[in-house]
Amino acid sequence: MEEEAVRRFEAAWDAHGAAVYRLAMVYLGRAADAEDVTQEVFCRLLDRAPDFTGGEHEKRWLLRVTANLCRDQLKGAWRQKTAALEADLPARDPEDRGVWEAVLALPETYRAPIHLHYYEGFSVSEVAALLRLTPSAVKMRLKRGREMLKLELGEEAHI
Amino acid sequence: MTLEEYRGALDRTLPPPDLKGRIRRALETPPARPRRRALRAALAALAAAACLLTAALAASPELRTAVLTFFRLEQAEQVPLPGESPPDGPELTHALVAGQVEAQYIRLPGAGTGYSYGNGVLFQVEREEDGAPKAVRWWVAEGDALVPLEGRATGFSAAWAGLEYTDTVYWCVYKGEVSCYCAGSAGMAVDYNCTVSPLPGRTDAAILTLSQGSQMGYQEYPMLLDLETGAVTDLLAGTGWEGAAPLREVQWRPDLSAAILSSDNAGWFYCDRAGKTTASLDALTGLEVFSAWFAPDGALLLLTRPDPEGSCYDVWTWDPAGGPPVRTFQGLPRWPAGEDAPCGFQFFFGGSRGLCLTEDGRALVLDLASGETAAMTGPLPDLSAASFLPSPAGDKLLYAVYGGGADGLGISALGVADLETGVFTLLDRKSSPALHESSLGWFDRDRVAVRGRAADDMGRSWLYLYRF
Repeated sequence: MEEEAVRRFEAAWDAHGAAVYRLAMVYLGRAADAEDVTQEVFCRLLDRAPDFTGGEHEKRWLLRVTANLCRDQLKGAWRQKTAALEADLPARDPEDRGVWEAVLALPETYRAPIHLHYYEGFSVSEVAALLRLTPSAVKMRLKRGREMLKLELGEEAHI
Repeated sequence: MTLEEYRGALDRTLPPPDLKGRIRRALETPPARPRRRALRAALAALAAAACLLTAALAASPELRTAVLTFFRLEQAEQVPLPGESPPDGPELTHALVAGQVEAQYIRLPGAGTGYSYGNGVLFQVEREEDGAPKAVRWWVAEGDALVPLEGRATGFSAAWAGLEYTDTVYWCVYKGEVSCYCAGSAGMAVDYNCTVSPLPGRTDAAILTLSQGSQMGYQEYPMLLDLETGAVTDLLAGTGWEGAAPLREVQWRPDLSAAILSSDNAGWFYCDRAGKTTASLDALTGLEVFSAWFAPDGALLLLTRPDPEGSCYDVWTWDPAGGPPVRTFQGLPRWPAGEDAPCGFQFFFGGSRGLCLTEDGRALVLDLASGETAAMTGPLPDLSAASFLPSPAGDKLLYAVYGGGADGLGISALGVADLETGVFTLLDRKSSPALHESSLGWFDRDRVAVRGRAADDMGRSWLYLYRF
């Protein structure tokens, strides 16, 4: 790997590696699958990423690639056959396990909007652009996802 | 659950400490990485590096040998470094190196971000804040001047396999050829995409390739895009192409009268648009076709592997209207990838020539269509250490040696073998470690392009053009 590519990978990983991995975990719920997707995302970063206008642009691209690859995995026949056989939740702390059980109990279509909006802090329109949804669809999914999670927003405004 | 509980649980979800190292190791091992169709042709070409050819050539029934004369220019190029202060727009400096090679050094603003080239035209993509293309500016490098070209933008919409592809192609015309840029309807997405490719000699239309999926799930479909109106025409309708589906790659005869369809499921197919037929190349030729492409004259060049192990190749030419295929080379032994002493046979997609380095140090250019060979003469450079890249028309061969001590490619020697005139000219380059060269390619039919920047400052960048 060229030195420039190494630098690019190192910088992108340090800035966004955890965000990519977390989104993959939210989608897939299994560490091994999330690691595979994370690796593929960074391979693609070096292979065919566009020119980025800045760090946020790069992050949005990485998260969008992550979402697409995760959806591919979830659609895969192998995944559909094996998903029920594993139960390795990504948390040991009992409270965290409770959170993850609730998140992974959500239908897949609600997980990413919830995560990108309430954890990553993207606006509704940004989430819509990332996931190729309409803003109204994102709002609907946030509302239903929130209800399913019984998510209390505290002082933050409801969508 | 509160928002804090949710965020806390996610905060504590981190990638395993060794994942970064594992990914980096995977990135340094190219064969282990997944790749799509776009890389397949290039990788296949490299993987086909062959052989112990002397015996194979001797077996060719009609071995006519031409001469390719080698010249090494006495004066080396002093490669200029990017200046201290980046210009506001691209700036060109013209030079004649060693009294023979025309060089055009183009300083690019900033890090050269958004600048690229295609079909002999330099262009810059201006983007909105979210990264979406806003406009494209075009220039041609003529002598010592960069001349702006008028650009056009055409919106289009096409539907295929349940998806709607809506996008804009930016394009310009220069010397009867189109250069174009399309960001792809997927934008940042990777599960579907579209690309626009110029058609040689046509300024009214381009090929629009719609694609979906990735890796083993990749498939594509071609349309003809009217550059004036944005109207699209289905190019394979009524030809029976479905027998070859899903399509992995479509190659066109320049007049679009026929196409070679590649299908991972069922091999190679020949699609006759005029006759509205699509048939397996194996069935049409009686061969077990390993690879196929169009020669410049419109005939097909076919590659077969005569032994079960696939250790060597036969080369055939086939005219769909003219009877059975004709073998032009036999038993070109395949040289396994990864060997340390490169010698053997390389064939080039998109052209009709191959290059062969023999065990005894000779360099031969093979005309795969006619079976003729041309031997290079003179005090040849170390060809085994070089990389070769055919020109778009397949009539020239770019020669480059990397690793001149500088960061990046560090191109220490650059040459072009003109296969029509039989002259191979080589230019040595003296570049500073302060220069980082990142890419090498053909700018147009006869100019070579190198991109470089200051090693310690990505904001100072160049595009170097050479005409041999």
